[in-house]
Amino acid sequence: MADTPVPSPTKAPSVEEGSARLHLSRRQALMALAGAGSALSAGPLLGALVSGRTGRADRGLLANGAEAEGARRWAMVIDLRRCDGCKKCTEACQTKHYLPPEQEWIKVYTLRDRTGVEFNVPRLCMHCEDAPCVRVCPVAATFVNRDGLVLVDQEKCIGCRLCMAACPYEARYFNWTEPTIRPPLPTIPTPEFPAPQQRGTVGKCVLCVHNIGHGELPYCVVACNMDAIYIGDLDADVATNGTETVRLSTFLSQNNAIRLKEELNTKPRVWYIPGHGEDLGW
Amino acid sequence: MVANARTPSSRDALHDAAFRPMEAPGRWFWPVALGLAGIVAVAFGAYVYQVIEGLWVAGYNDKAFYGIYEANLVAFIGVSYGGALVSAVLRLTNARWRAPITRMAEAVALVSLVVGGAFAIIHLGRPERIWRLIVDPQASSPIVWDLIAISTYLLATAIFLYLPLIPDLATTRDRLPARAPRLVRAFYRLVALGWTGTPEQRRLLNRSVGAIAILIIPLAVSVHSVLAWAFSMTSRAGWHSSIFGPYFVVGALYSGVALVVIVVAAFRKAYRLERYISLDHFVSLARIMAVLAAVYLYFTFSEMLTAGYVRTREEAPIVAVMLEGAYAPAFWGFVVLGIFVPIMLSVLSATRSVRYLVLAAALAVVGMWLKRMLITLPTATAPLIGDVWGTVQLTWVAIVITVGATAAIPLGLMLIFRFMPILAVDEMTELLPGSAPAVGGEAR
Amino acid sequence: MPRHVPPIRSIVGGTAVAVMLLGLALASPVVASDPPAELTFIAERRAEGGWMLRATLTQGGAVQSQQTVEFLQAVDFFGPRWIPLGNATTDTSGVASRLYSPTSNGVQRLVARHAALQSAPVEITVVGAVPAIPREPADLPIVRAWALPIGAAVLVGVWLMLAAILLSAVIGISRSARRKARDNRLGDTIGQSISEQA
Repeated sequence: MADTPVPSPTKAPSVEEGSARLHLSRRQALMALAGAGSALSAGPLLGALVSGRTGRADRGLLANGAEAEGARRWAMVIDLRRCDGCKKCTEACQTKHYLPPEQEWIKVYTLRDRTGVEFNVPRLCMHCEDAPCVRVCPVAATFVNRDGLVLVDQEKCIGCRLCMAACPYEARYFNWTEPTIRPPLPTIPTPEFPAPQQRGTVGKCVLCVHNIGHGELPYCVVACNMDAIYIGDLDADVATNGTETVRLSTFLSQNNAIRLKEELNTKPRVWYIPGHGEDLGW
Repeated sequence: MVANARTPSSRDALHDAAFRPMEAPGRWFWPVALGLAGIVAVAFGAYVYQVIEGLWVAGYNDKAFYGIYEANLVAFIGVSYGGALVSAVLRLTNARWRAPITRMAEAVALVSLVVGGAFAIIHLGRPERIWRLIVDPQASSPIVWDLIAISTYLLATAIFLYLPLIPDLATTRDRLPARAPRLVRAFYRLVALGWTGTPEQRRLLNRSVGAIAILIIPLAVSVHSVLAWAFSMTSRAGWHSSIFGPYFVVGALYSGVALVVIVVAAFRKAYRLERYISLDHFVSLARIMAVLAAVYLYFTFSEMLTAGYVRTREEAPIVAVMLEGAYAPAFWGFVVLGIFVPIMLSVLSATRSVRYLVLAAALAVVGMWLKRMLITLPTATAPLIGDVWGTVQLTWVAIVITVGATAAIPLGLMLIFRFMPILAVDEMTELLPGSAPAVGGEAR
Repeated sequence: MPRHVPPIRSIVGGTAVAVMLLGLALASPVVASDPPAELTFIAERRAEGGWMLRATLTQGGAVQSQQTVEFLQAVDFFGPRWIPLGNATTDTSGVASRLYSPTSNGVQRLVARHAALQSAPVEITVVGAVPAIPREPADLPIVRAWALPIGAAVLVGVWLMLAAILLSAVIGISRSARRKARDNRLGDTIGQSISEQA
């Protein structure tokens, strides 16, 4: 090593070594920067705008908006003029799905509006047509079924909770521990009926897909004494709360129905008829 | 006052110093290493308990779904950026003074990247299913981008550590005592690739190291950018901000350089390397740290100003709680103790000593960890409907695991320098053959 | 005048007649409502789109005006249900008409109702209906199509570059070392033979 010529500090690096490095660096730099600079953009390119619709999360929902054969486009309408905050919907859902008390797949908030009036808002999963939770799931455990419902496959879920971060309606819950409330008989959990739930995975309202598939109403619709919760089909343009049946589109427009956080462009499928319990007769 | 590296005696001194961790670490080495290993083992036990019991033991609940582990993920991967800066950027800008500290910086980068990556697994509810990320990933997910970016950067960091190490591995091979086991000798012969220092080999090496130094910079930027985007690809106030990518990168550079200062100071003291690493090195690093702190402050200010001026319904509570509410002591504490004080300590001549600069760096590292908690917690606990905030709990499991990860970094470094020289002997001989190391480019 | 006693026969007869007349009076409304009410219902497709629903209400052949007729669609939605399509009032010719713009395609069963009376169902086949709340198409189709291929290509490029850098260095250095060793051995051999000859 003593024989190796070493440039003295006062001299510039030898021309041969310097230019060799510079010359090759430039070529390499162009290549490296072109590709590596794209390593930077790989992130945003790879998906900020690629929603779950083009991934396997999009089972059954065709990206071009065409309708799958025989599929329904489920929707819910909640009439806030009638909600009295009794939480029977929550109770029924939790009982029938064997949920722990802190997991309220349908949760009734008591809010106060700008005029100081209190009103009750049941919030369930919006089953958004452009669901942010579906988009961010790293393993496609959250997916859209052929009827447009957003479901969770708890066999696949790795428990990263990015979907919980992405949901603007705080509609998702996590099983932070092994569930203690379990079905009485051994059941095989499915995304359509995740009971018993798995520790370390995400659970949320499934719009009672296990019921509505064969003509049974969701548990919250049945449980509501005030008939405030409707289930509907956007394609057949019909909705019912079990007692009354309406043409969904006219029902929404005539009652000035709104959706929550419309500006986020998630295209939720739950409409609310604004009100403060006017129809409660109190 | 570094002796001429060309003369046999000074060269031997350099080699002795560089190989001291391998050959004569001192009596403190094994007790400290075993102590750290014990802490790491306890942390591992806590993690096993967490896997069995569920994440509730770490203080999580539905209204606080992200917390200390996610902050640690950002923080620990963040401190790995010192390596990229000190080694790659300083190499590309021909800053010769980097020579004695590049090896330590690159090692810190590798070790803290691995430890930080562990938090990506620790925060999962079902970690045994991560294989799905490889077999069945969904490309639109920021976590998949994380996996890709971190693994690519890990590979690049490993290559960037290895290539300039080849000449030193050859020296190690030559320095192996006669009684060294055959396997060890064969190992070093293998990884040294028959390096003899010919002009052709040197040309090849320089070309490759130059290429990886260029390539690693955008890769490093991409890693912390995608980590930031895991937060900002949601619509949550406080996270959904376009500045997050650059914000996290600058924060990582700041905390990374700070950690390099601490590690260099610690090993310099432990292995008596004062001859090769002088106060000037710390002053230069501290100046870089000060600049990065100022940029980070600027970004933080920009964030708070933008959110606080317009005060949309969703962002207003976050700003309020940060500037004047429950998190205000932490936030302003960070601004003062984590930004201003380190800047002062770094630039004032009165505090121009290794002790003060290490203090500045320590404040910076701890401050930046706190800042990542401030990024994670308020938004994770803020209500999206109604006005009931979530509550965070700090549990023993979370603390133990965090402490364990903190202990794993010095442990990893201590072990790494049992296999490679702590000083980049070949680089130092190449770059600083004559007079005292050129700091800031004065002596050329 | 003992002969002016009213005869019992006439009292009974008069009562009987009165009773009969009374009975007849009571029975007349029943007899008057005997003619049945009919509600006929047709649906005509309009050239300009939509359907015109016409229901005619008659009673005993006489048209009934100013009567409210409601139109409904029969659906099977969680059981058989009726969707109200709206009401109309019968005009002077007993016809209640209403414009119906269907919002979904396929076969639909419609009826008209008035009080307890329901017309025979009419089946219509709807094609080309505009959905009231259509599904919005996914936006940014070009980005969606190209994001993943471009990203994957970039990623593969980066990994290839890393591999190239590593391999070129490793292979180059080892090869150069072997060549140098070979040259050295060759040099030694020549030097040896020279010294042997010397």
